[in-house]
Amino acid sequence: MSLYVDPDELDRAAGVYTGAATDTADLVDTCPTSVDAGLATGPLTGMLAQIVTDLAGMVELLGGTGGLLTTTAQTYRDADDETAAALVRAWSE
Amino acid sequence: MPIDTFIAGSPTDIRRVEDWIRTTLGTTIGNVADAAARARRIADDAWEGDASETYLDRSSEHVHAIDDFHARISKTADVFAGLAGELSRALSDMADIRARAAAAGLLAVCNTIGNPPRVTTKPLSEGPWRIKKRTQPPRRCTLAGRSQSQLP
Repeated sequence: MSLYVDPDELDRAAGVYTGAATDTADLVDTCPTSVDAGLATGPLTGMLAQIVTDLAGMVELLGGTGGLLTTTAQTYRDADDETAAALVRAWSE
Repeated sequence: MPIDTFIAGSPTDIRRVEDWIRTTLGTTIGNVADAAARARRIADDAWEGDASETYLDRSSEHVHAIDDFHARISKTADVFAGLAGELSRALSDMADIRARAAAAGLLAVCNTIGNPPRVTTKPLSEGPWRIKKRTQPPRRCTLAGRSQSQLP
């Protein structure tokens, strides 16, 4: 197994996800909640509600992925620090 | 019986929402899809290992899901645009019908076409054209002329 990781870049990718999640969440606030469509008002309002539901799911997806990448980057940093400390101890003895 | 030509709904309002879906929502989600793809590439370049493969698989699914959502947004906007167009045509048709009814002499108030004006007439039996009761039997006619029995 080969392993290469740049935690700072993972943080950058996480930031992109988080920014996208914020942009998506902002859409929910501006989404129209009603439309005057006569007999079609019910179905069209239902479509708008579905959009809001889909947006909420996307916010969760993007935010969750960003958070996971941030955790991943930190986990690799912690592991690297622990490994380095262990190696320093081993080589010092 | 009056005819009500009222049709509820506003094409303008439907187009307002359609514009939000197509422009605001569509553009933003398009940007979000680009961002998700960019984030995937950044992580792909910065991370190689067993765990990264799992992440890349999942992030690819996310990118596809966002692209699908973007496509659905476009179709939803098309539905709104289609309904706005059909409603607009229906309202125009009703306005045309009202105009034709008014031109024909019917009273069209707001969206309602009124009844034809009442014409007062006397029954036929009361008019000057009253048919007098026949006192003599009718003369019989044939294609050849009067029947012989009716000859003077």
